Amino acid sequence: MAFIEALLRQGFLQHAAIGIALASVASGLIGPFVVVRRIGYLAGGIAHSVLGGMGVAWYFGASPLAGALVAALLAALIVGWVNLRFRAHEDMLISALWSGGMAVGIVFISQTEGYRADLFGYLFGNILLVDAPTLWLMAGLDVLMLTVLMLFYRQFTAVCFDAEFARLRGVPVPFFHILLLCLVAVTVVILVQVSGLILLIALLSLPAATAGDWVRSLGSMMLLAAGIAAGTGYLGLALAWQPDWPAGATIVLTLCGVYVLSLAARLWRERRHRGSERAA
Amino acid sequence: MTPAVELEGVTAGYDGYVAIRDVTLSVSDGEFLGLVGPNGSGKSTLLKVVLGLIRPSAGRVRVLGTSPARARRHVGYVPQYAAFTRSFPITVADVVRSATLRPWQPWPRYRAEQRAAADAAMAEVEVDALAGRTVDQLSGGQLQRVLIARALAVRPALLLLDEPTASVDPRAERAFFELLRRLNERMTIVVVSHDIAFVSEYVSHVACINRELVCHTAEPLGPGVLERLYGHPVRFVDHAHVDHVHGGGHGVH
Repeated sequence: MAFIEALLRQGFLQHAAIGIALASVASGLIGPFVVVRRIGYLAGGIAHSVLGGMGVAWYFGASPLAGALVAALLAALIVGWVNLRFRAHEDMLISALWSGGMAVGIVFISQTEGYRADLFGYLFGNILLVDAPTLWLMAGLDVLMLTVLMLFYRQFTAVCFDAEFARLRGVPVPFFHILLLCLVAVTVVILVQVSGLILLIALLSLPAATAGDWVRSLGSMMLLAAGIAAGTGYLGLALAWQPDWPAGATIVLTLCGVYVLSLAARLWRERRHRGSERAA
Repeated sequence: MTPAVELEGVTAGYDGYVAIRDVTLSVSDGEFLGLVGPNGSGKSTLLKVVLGLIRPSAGRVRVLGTSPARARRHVGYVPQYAAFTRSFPITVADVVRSATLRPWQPWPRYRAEQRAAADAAMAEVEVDALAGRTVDQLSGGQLQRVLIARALAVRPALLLLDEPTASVDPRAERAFFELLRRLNERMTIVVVSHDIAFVSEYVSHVACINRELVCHTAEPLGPGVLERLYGHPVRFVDHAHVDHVHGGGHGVH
């Protein structure tokens, strides 16, 4: 109850609630593609390398979010190119991008006076500090992603489902693969506000993975994943409020709990189904 | 009449490995060709050259009188193994409709004529009752029919199938070849198979490949051809297909 009262009175909590809603839309739109295409590792490489862009932006006095967006898109292009051309060495090259990007960020941040406290926020998230301009940026990026996905939903599905067949039908598979990674990059920039870049893979993949246990189409998976991300986001925020726990980490823990429960329920359902088949 | 497929001195492979060498082959319009050969003989590579997925390092390829890339719109393809994960959340109807997708077609909804083409293809191979099921709910035989429906939805002039019965039981296998025989009344078919004798019951011609083209004939396969194909003496051995309708299936040992 104390949380609801605070939510109705406190502007920063209202900002946090809007931020969670906008992050949930991004997670719901892109998470299912990350799960069905099994590109969680590629997404992790993109997510962690954005610290490099943030560090450089801080050093030169630019907006860290603008730096994050540029770095994420650059990382998406590199990851996409490596994925298409150097599949045999993909894991090592993405590991290098993952840790190299973070190292660049740490070096530049270490040379910048007075910004080290903010580093903790971007690494682990601080949704309670999100301001109105950042919310507008998040909303704009959500609209951009929704537009691209509405336009080319079938092409993205075809490329994720059976890339060889899509290529035979004339779909430019490398283009849509890299465009999908760019959308992952944009989602990373949105989610970094909630959970920070260390924890955001959970926010990107777990709502979709949980939804995938219960629905049978990509569209339904998107809707349910967005709902799960929002539900666990608000529950995590409420749980973190009273004991003053870090909101991003509490949201991710709530999400992990829901995912484990969903997985257990699915395994139990499958076991019962197999048992009834044997009995029949 | 222009041949459906023409290969002249084609050499091709991948990652520096030469899978087929100097292959010259012509498939006439309306032909039902069985492409046979041992494992690793380059059968699948040859299909991918015809599809334009692998560019030959030497030789010339013409498909339906044009380049493989241009001919693709009129070519149906059924892969050896489903390249997708069976847990992908997609319905049979959407799998078949995906064949009609244009490269830059915007908006998630398929047009009426695309849905009609997919519905007709599903009805033809009798999977229309499965339209609402997801791919993880299908048996091996059902999935194979869905993949044929996907290939037919493009209304192909040439149908290429790579080991189409690898994951289906013998009863389904015979029904499957009967279906192909029906389809052959209106399109050219090239089917890759390891079961030489079984395939030869249905096809009009057989081409044998073992990196190079060993034979291309309408005549029955004799021990001499098979020995050249496998590199050692071979013999036909009867092995029962469970539901023999006529005659026995054969294997090569």
